[in-house]
Amino acid sequence: MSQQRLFSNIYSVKNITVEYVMRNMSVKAVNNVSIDIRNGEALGIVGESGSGKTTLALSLLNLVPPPGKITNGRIIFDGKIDVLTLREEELRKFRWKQVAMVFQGALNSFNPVLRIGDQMLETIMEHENVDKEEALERISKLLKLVRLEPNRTMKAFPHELSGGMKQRAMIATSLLLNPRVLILDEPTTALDVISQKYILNILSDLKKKLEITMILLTHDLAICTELVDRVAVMYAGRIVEIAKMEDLFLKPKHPYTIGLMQAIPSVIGDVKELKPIPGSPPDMFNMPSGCPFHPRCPYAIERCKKEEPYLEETSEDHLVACHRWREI
Amino acid sequence: MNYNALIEAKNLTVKFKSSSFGLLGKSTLFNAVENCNLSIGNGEVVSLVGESGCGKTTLGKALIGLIRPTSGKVLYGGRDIWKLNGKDYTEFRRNAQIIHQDPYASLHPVKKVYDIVSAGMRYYKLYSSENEIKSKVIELLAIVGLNPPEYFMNKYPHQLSGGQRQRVAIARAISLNPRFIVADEIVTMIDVSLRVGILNLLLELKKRLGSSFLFITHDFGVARYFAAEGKAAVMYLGNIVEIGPTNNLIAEPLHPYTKSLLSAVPVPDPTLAKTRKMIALRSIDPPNPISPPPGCKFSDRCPYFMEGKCDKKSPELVEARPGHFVACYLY
Repeated sequence: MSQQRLFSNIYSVKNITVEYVMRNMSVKAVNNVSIDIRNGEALGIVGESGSGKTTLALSLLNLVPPPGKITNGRIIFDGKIDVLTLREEELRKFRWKQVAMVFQGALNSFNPVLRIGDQMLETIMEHENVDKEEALERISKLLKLVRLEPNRTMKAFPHELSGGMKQRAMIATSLLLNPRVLILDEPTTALDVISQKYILNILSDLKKKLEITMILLTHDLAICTELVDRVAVMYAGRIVEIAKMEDLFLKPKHPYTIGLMQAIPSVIGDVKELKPIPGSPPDMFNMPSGCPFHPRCPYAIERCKKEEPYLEETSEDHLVACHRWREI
Repeated sequence: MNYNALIEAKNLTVKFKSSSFGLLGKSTLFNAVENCNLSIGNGEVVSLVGESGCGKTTLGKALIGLIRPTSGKVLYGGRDIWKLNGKDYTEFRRNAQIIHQDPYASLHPVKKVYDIVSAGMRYYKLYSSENEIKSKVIELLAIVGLNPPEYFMNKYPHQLSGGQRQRVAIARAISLNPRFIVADEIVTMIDVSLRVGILNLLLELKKRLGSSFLFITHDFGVARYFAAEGKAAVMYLGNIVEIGPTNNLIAEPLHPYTKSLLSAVPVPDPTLAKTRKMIALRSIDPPNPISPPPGCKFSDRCPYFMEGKCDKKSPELVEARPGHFVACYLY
């Protein structure tokens, strides 16, 4: 029992910092981030462009591209695998087999001159010792799960599929080796709302059927309501709030999250005047002192300019990095 | 629609060539915009909603004379813009401005903000002296919230953030006091936390200038926010399928396509999100715009499809509710 509780986190991320070093300058794209990702949950990571969500996800796979470098922290997978110390060959197995990622713009990550089915088949044969029959069987099962017609899709070239179909085929491909974690980077951003909703439905279906852990990276808070159990909000390379999805929407505590919520034009309710968050996202080369949000924050006090706040538990399962959460 | 229209599209069709497969493939013509009728009154705001590829940008560009229609007319103050004489045409061009989607591409990269914003005023010789131009540029930059203007006017576009660039594009568009502005997906490429700032700025300018707007967007939430007191039009594969007062259209959508779009919009409310169900379509993926189905173009996806009717002839817009038009055989 205690054993099981110990390993109920599929990922334990401690104090991860990722720096991009350019000549004499360095930018911390991810700054001292710690988060436990629970087995079987769907976690949303929300942030604007440049907030560090993609870099954080890449570090989960130890896949940060140069000149980026993980300069601090530890990432433990499933209570036993120390991801950052894996050797190249071990990493190759770890990626895709344990953790798969669907990259942003994945619509275009299929090879345009090969049939979808052949590309999927190659993936299985490359990694596993199975016969072709079995592999084809698995492919067609997964294509059905993402509601594509297996025979037609396998014979198709990428350009013969619509954007939504390609994205679904990509999701099926990422699941070929039965990974335990699926990371999706802005999976619906390039799609129309109908395809978006359809894919979100499919994903929540997959989550139930495959008992897979999902990490959804998005700039759009609203789509979290369709799929995720918990949300982490990122700003300037830090996680500023983590909460259960309902909690975050009903009782947001970080001023940035509150600001985002007030800035979504919705199709429901009355048309209210929306309030923008003043100022602009920070210049990564020239980070403000103290709390990185303080120049834009309506609640900022002297302390916020000097001292950086760290995540603290405000109620069960709700963490906020703000000096003034009690008063807001 | 016989009210005082400033700008009108009459049976407007724009055909584009699309080369099909390979280098040797034959090119085919397809209708990017097909038989559209739209009129925008003085000071009126119309949101044009549709998915990428539906022809909304093409319609917007045709309305300000950037694309010549294959057939049909664009009327400005009741006169065909392609038959205006030199002076009147210049006057029309000055009065019809556009703000493009991508502020990273729409500003000249080696010109300073000052030159970008003042270029139009110089061309149309609105002011006689450089001092007047300068004070006008300063005024415009202050209006769009680029403070202090003296600081921003000497910047190059690459020194500005996306939101600031879009503000420069807005300053340029309003520099000629236009009567009609096409705003094409102006917040799509802007960070979420800055979008509302841009929208509020444009709403304020609308009040101040009294210009008419065609506000193009794929986001119903944004469309409703901007045109809360105006009209919304929904476009699908080149046709306007529904148009009416924004609030009515969103509260009670009539066209099956509008209904399904609205049912698929994610809402920032977890309780409500659980109860909302997307309308089941017969096909999730839209058809290839080059070969849409016969009759109503939505017929192959529509859950209310009536065989022998919807696949025969394209439905015309009819007034199903006061001021609320829909092109569907259900009405």
